[in-house]
Amino acid sequence: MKKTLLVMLALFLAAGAASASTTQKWTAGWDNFSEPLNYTKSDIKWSVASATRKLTVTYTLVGAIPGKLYQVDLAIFCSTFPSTFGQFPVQALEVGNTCQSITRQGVTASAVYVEVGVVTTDINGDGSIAVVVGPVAAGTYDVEFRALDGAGCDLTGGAGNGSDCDADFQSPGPTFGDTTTISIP
Amino acid sequence: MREGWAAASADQSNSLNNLKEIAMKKVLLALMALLLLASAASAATTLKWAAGWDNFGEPLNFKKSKVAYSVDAKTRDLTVTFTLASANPNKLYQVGMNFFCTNFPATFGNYPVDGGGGTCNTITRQGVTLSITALELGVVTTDEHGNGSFKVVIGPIAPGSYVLEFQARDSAGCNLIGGDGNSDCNDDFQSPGPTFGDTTTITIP
Repeated sequence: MKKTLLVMLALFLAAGAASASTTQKWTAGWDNFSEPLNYTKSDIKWSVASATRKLTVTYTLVGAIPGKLYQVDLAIFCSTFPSTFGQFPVQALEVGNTCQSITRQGVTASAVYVEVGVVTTDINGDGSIAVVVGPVAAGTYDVEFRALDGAGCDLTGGAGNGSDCDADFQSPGPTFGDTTTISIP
Repeated sequence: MREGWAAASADQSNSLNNLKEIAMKKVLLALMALLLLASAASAATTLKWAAGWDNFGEPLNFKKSKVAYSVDAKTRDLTVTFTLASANPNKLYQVGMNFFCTNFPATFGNYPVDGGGGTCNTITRQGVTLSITALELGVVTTDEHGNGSFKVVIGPIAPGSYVLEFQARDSAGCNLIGGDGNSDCNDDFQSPGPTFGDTTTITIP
């Protein structure tokens, strides 16, 4: 019985370790600043599973526009970057895998983008999506999470690369280039 | 050692062991109850995808792809997980449900029904004519291998029996804001299928 108890406790501890996460709030921008959102209730949760080198991210929007698609991604600030991040392709890479320099909110920085999913809002403007990225190459990544003004940016089957590529929400923000660091061991 | 003392000591030791055994059994029972609760929440019906009902050439690993759903009788929530394997890489597939009906309310749980509900639309696909109404729930975004999944919780849903097919459309934006609009609402995959009108029934108590 002691062995059974130990196994069950180990299972619970393992489950607990997998659910530990960092929670961040959204802020407006970096392109659009008037998109509605309940900033108190909306958030991003992320965690890293060291053993598998997998990054789990849950994007939650509350009180946004009902019945709308918000493509979500990671903006990774860099000078050069590989062509993939986990199982997802990296966007905005230039010659020699250099990262694209852009200016937003008066700040100039170089970044690439990893498009990982879409939040679809319900009749209340609420929606969420969880995505598992990995295995991710070991390293330290300076990241802002984004929610874009539509779906289809750098992907097949949506609105293409127009105004839907504009960022409605960034995290952590509030300014372009305010990052969080994700370490993959 | 005196016999009486030895007997008393043995009794105490037995009692202590019994108490330990009882305490351990209680902990074990509590853990088992928690595990049972967790497994009850994850119990689901699993369906396979079939091609169509509009497009029949979209790539998919039909063996590994599926739709899993479960109903929480207490909260009247329906949880659906749409999984696509080896579809087109880096593509958006809008997913939802098609109810076979004559009339339908304006909402299903926390999601609006396309067209605001009312009389269901009659359409013909694969030689079958039926009346339906659609519900757009979300988007599966595939990775570089063409794999992706999307989980959604819908509710609380009005009690009833719902006859439906799940669908994955050829893009994102149909009947929603922020995609390519209604230019490509075609169905790449249906479930259960394989023919338009092959349904599954979901009962909300």
